[in-house]
Amino acid sequence: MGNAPFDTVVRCEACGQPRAYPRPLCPACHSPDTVPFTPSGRGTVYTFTEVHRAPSPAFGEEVPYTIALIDLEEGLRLPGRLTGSDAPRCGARVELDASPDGYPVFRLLPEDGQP
Amino acid sequence: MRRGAAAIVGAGESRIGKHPDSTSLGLMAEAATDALAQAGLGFDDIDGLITTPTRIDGWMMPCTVVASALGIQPDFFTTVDIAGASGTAMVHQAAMAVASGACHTVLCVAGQNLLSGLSRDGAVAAMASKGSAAHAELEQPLGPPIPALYAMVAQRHMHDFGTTPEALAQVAVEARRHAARNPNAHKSRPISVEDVLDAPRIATPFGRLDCSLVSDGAGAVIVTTPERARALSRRAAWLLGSGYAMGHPWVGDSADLSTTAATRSVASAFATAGLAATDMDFACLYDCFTITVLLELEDLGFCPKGEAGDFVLSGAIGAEGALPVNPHGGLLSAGHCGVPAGLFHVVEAARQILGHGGARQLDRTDHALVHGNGGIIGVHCTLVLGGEDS
Repeated sequence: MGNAPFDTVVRCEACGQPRAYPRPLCPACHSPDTVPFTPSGRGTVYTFTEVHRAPSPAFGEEVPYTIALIDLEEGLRLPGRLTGSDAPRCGARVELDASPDGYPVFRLLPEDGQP
Repeated sequence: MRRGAAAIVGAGESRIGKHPDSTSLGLMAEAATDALAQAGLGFDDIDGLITTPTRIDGWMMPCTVVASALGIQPDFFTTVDIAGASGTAMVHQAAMAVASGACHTVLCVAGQNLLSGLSRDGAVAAMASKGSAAHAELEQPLGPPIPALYAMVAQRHMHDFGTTPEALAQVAVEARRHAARNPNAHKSRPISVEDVLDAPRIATPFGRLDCSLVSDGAGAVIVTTPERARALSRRAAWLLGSGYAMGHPWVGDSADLSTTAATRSVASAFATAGLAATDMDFACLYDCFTITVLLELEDLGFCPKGEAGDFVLSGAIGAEGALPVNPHGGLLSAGHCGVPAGLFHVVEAARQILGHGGARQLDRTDHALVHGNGGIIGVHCTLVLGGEDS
């Protein structure tokens, strides 16, 4: 812990591969040993969706909200919320935004050549 | 599994749709009774049972509960639990059971009163909560309904290949057109591409009509040995090939959402069958969302990668097209009752081969491909069925 909002992210001590989804063994080399790892929060949008139909009343007042899979520059992919004034697109650059709810929230960066 | 190791000799289903008086066990009894009647067999002929879990009932040992409800004491029994791939996997496992000698005639039956037991809102909430296809720590806190997870697959496919919302919509339109010829379909009112595009948004690029239904229903097939299938002296749907492939458990844990592990499950199935995609007369493809069908058409080899949108827009998957897909209407229109619903695709393929297609009977049914996928298009089981054993 203490790695919020990337609480599950670790790096394999044996081979160095980072991973986000919790596993007892490294999927690359099967080592059980890990070291703490805090990503920069910078990356690109792999894919995204704007949710209009909440899965349960707990999310009902938040719609619409955007969920995305983010490819971090350190070479791992993980899910998060996406904010920003531009329309999202695959490949758009993002950085970590304030994430008060415990999960990562990424902010779309302005497109190159734009104010 | 060697080619022709087992055959489907009966296929049936319960009432499908909204049936407030229904229970999961009652629906399964209806489907089993129908399948046995089609086979000319009775419950006393069954010595193997395979079923799936249901979300509503939460039974421990579903296969035992179902056997008890049907009044049978099979020598072989198990519960298959790989979500949407369970329907095809049940047939594969039944074939392994009869080929091994563990038993000779297996009832594969699965069903659930998903609509009446939970309501549509309840089903949406349940499918997005504990035990769902969304990861408990990394995904569920973000609030994705299951459609959102598949919507991200669709969004990436649109980015990689230029797939359009109109192509996705055409999948739903064809499903509904097929369902109009299925008297047991949950939804049969015709829809247009515009209807699909204008439907209330669920998770972009999906609207409501890009998503499978929530229905009550059950399906059943009877799988037996080659010797018994021939002794029944009726048509049978022979298992010519089958294959599994494991991809990813979670949507964010996939390296490439635009290409699925179905490429591997189908390679195994065709290798066993000695057949190719071009030999298939029709296909029954798991269609939880419109994008699912496009990915399957590509990864199963029915069109080049990235071209499923054009393939569908050409009319290819219609009843008169080059590859009719889901003549019954699929999960998008005939009905979807959760995990058990993967069996409906097997039921339809078998019915077509057995000549029980009624108003929707296809002209050519020598070879069929049936495909199921579970999770967020992460696990796969493919079957090749045929009207002859050689």
